[in-house]
Amino acid sequence: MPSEYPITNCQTLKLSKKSKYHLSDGEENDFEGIDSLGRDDFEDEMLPDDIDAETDVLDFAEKLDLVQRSMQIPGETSADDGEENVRPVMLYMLVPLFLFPIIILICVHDVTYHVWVRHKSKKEVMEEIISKSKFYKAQKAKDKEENENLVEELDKDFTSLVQSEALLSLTEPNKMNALKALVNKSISNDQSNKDQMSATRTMDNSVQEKPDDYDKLVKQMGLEMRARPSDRTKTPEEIAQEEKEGLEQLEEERQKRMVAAEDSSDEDNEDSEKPFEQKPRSISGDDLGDSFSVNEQIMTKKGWVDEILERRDEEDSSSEDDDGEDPDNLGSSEDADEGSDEDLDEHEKDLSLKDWEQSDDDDIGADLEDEDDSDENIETAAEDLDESKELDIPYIIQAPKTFEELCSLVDKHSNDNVILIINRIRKSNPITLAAENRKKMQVFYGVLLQYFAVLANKEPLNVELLNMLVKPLIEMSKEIPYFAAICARRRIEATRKQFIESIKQSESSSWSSSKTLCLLRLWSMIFPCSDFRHPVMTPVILLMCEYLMRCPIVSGRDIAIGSFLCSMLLSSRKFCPEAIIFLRTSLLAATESKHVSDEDSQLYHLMELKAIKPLLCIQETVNEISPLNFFKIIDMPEDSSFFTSVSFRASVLVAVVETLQGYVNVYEGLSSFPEMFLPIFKLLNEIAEQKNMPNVLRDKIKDVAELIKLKVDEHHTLRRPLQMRKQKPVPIKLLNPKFEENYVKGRDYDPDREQAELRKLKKQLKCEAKGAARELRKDNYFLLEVKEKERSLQEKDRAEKYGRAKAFLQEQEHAFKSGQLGKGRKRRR
Amino acid sequence: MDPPRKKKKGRYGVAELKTLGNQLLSSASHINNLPLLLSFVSPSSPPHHVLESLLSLHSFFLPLLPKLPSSSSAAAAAPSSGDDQSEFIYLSWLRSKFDEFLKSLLDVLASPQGDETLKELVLDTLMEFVKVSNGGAFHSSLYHKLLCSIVYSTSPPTFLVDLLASKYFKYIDVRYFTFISLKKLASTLEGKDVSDDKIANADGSSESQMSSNMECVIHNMYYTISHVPPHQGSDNTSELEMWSSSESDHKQLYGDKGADDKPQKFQKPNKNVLSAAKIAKKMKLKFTKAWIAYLRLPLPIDVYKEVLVNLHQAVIPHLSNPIMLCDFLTRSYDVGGVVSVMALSSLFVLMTQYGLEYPNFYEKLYALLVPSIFMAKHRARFFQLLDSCLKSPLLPAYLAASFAKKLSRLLLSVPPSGALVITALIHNILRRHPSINCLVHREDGVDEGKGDHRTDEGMATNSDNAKTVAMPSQKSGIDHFNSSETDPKKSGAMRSSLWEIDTILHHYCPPASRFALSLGNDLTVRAKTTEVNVGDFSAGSYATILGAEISRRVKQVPLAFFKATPSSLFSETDFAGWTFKCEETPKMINDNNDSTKDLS
Repeated sequence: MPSEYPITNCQTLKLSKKSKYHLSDGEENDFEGIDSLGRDDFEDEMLPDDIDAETDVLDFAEKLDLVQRSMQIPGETSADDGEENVRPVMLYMLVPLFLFPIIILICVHDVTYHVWVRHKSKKEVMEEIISKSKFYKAQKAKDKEENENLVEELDKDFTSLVQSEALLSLTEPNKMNALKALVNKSISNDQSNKDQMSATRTMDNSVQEKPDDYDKLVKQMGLEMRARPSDRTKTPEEIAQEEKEGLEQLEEERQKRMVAAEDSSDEDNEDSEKPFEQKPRSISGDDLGDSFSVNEQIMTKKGWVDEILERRDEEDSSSEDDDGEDPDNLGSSEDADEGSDEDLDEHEKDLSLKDWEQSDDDDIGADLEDEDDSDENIETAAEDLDESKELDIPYIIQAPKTFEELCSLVDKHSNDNVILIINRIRKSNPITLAAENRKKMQVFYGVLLQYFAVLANKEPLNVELLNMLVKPLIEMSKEIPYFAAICARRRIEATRKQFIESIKQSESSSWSSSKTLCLLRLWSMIFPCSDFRHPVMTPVILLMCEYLMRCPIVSGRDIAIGSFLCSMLLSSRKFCPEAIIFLRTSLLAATESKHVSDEDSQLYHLMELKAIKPLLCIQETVNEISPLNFFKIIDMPEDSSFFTSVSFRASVLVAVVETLQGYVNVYEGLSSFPEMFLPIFKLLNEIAEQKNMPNVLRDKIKDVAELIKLKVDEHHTLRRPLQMRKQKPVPIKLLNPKFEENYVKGRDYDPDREQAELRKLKKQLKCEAKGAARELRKDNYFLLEVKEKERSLQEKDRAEKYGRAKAFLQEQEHAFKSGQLGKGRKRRR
Repeated sequence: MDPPRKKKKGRYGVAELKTLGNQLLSSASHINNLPLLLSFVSPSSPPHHVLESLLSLHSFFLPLLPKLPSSSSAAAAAPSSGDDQSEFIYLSWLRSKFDEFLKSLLDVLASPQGDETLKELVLDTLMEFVKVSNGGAFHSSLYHKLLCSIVYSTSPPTFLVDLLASKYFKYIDVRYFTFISLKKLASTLEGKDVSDDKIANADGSSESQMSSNMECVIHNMYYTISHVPPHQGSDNTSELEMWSSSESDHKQLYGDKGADDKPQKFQKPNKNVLSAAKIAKKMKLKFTKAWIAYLRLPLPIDVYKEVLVNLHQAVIPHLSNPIMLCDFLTRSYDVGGVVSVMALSSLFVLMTQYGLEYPNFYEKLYALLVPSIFMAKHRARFFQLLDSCLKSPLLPAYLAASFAKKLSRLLLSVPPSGALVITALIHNILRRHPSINCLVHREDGVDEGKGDHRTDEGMATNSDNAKTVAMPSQKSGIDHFNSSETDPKKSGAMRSSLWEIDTILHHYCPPASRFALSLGNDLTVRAKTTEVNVGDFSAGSYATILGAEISRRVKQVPLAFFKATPSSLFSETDFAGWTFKCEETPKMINDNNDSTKDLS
């Protein structure tokens, strides 16, 4: 082994040498072609090259020494060759750089000779000399750069080798002995020893590192193989489907358990079934442990695959239930026990498959006995509860269609079980799976809302169940919002009719009952309160305001319920004058003075209908002020003495003042804030000055009064008169031409249609007039033409007659002058 | 003889009464049956007995009525011969029996226990006697007694008055004398007429009834007077129907007497014709007097409201001089409240159609604008009239501005239906009076100047700056309207601004806030805007608004969004001052026990 390392090291050195030999061959060929001129220039530039060559020689010498020291016989021959080669290398390196430009210069020189001979020989000669010197200088610079780069690379390699060798020497002391032996064999300096040691150490490191990396990769691949594929992201429909199927399976199991509980023979079957169920768990546990056990149990796995799948499905489906946790714990304990048993069996006996199975059955039987004991000791009560739940509550429940059905389902169960029943009904009838389920869920929603209303009307109130019902009702409303709105509107209408009838009967109090208050609160949680208009919340707010405006205030209970309604109205953050008037009336009921100020006369006009009394006037000392308990107040009868007690009055005043503060904060942005709250401000100051007012309440009232005063002052300083008639700025008239697409000649594109129509009519009128004129003119032309013909004919006739007459006269004159009168006379005769 | 007669009375049945009647009618020898039959005509007798006796006596007396003497005829007959004297005595006796008969009939009519069919027959008999017993003329005194018994009866007079209205009030003379009698009865109740007091003193029992059952009488009187149809104003005398006899009857009657009575015969037809014409002319006057005398009575509040509901439709158009009602109406208008609202209708008719001048009308109208008016029963009519009263462009600007600002202030304390009405009224007021549109649009030129002043003052010291900034800015935000001032002139509305309209834009009721946006339009241009019909909103209430919202079609239902679904119905953070703990159950039980102890 150690002999191989130096061999590789020598090979690398030889390769570097061979490359250099090739370079020298090229240089030798070029050297023979140098001319005399080239020689002269070369000799001038030799001095700086010699310096560089000396440095290179030193480096090469060191390496050659290493080679000589490593090998004795071939070292001598190599040394001689190296010495000869160094010198031609120096020469050849410089020569090829000079050849090509020299050749070019020769050609140019010949051409220039002709020119020089002809014109300016001296100038051309000087230019040639200058260009040559420049060229050589550039050549030198390039050579220097290349040499420097090579030196730097060598230094880097050397330092890396040294460091690696140093590390090897430190980590591997054994191999130093071998190196020492080599040192003894060869005659060398300390540096050579160090170099050899470093070389060997680097090789050792490389050898050791590779297997480590390989091992790591192998391990990683093994780990990666164990990763399991995850399920696809499921749609809500698939999730609902799985939930439904899970409930169905649980129901089947429950049915089986019910049948098993009745017969004793089935119990034996259960005992036989349990070991079958437990075997797969033991197998899975053993997979993590011994390989031998895995091989043996492969046979059993194949046989029980179906049961394993069923068990896993059951576990997944029952994950939400508490029962799911117990079997897991039991399974883990079983795994440990079975593992130990198997080890003992292996050591003791060599059994066939049949014998092995039998022995497992026996062992499992013993385990079962142990499990039973532990269960009885630890979780007796839990088992009883689980059994009772499983027996009473089925997993698949049909949605009840009537209120009586729901009551029969729910009456004998606790609050938690009621919610469990409702959730199971919802899961077994999801809307997304079947169209029929929507109808079922709508009917169920109506029945559940009725159940909620009936609960809210009971005395005493089942507050816990009411609170628990809120969440399913809200979630179901999200599924069927339209139907929820229709139900709410119907109930609002019915509630208002009852309210009107109760108002007419002036004997009993017509304020809203606990049922109405709970329903109003439920709807304000299901639907948004802050919408401008909502199909449910707008009627709800109207109904609440009607209660505040029209119900007569007869007792302190009425004021308490009214202030509660005001608190509910506060969430809508809208202007409700009824709430302000009611709070003001409540504060007036807390005052002692019987005289009516001018500003309160408005309220007295309203009180003409209400006839309020000093119901909240505190006339005794109050020890404590506790917040009003809503459910207590609702459950008490109206004529209870609690409503006239001092502590009740103080508590109601606190509630009224707190609600008032809320309204101040909400209404501070309204323009009429001072007109609304200044009368209340005065009332608050009057109440705060009463004798028997407790200090805490007095301070609270003063705080609210100061808040009102602060905001009123702000409004007085910052409020501006109304400017509701701001007109939109009229855009500047644009004078750009308008281009009309699909322009039709003759069509009027004026935006004012009336003017366009008028213009059109005028145009038509003008056309008609011109047409008429044109026709008349044509007629005249025709008539004129006819007359012209007649006149021409007449002219023609007249001309003929005239001609004939003139001819006759001329003949007569001729006869007279010529003296032929006698002939004419003869003719006449 | 007396004991057997008494025994016979106890045994008499319908058959026997019928026999007695027939005997009485057949011959004068059985005249002694008359008192016997009269004894059966009383409220305590069985109805069929009263009926049979009534029929017999009616048949007996009807042909004898012309022969029965009056006091004057008795004096005239006294100095006559002996035969006349004996006949006179006989007729006087018959007269006394007839008067007794009438009294019994009136008692039967006024008794609360009587049968309706019997009462109807009694009424018919009495009306026939009214027609015949005065020698052909209307027997007003008997009719007066009839009405007196109706008005003073303790049972409600609905049946009898309905009978009169269906059968007899179509005759003009019956209506005429009804008004005269009612006027007398009202004056008697008022206690101002001395002669009526004497008559009342004569009727001692009625006087005691008056003192104890004043309101009952007033109710009965109102029911009667409101069911008499007023004269329709037709001038044709021939169309008028008279309940008294026609001329043919007169001729028959006087033909029997002989030639001596002929001149009297001629005179009486003339009287009939004259009386018909006179009645037609005097009907309005009597109607007016009856109503005015009645309205002078101290009316209870419910009768007050009933009168005012129909006064402007059923009474005022038929009065001869409706201005005479102004005292009553102004007095009822000054009562205030609902009564004022109801009086406004009639007062409006008088002012607009009959030229009544009422200087303080607008001040009274201004005082009626209170929050309770928007929940009153007759608010629809009131709002329409209010809009009509403010319609005149001749109203001064300060008055229109005061009404607009007062209505605007009421927006802060009325139901949403009232908000709609107020917005409609303000809309119309702003449109009719362009000069008061500064209430909804006032430029900030002055404020800009003040702003510049502030910037200049910024260089000064802090104290000076604060003072100068505070004083001018306070003026702009303070509302100068004095809501407690009753005089519209001094309320200072023109310097104010309708900030309440801006507040209503945030009202919880969508129609109210939507409608308030319309006031932002330029209402001074009449061509582009139209008046809102106040009648569309005036009858609104919570029922109409809630009904409209419920009947609105559900298009989409937004739901509240929760990052985490709440698990409790009430949370203490939303309700300050309240707690929602179910652990209070044992305390509740204790409190219930305490309450039961307190009750015991």
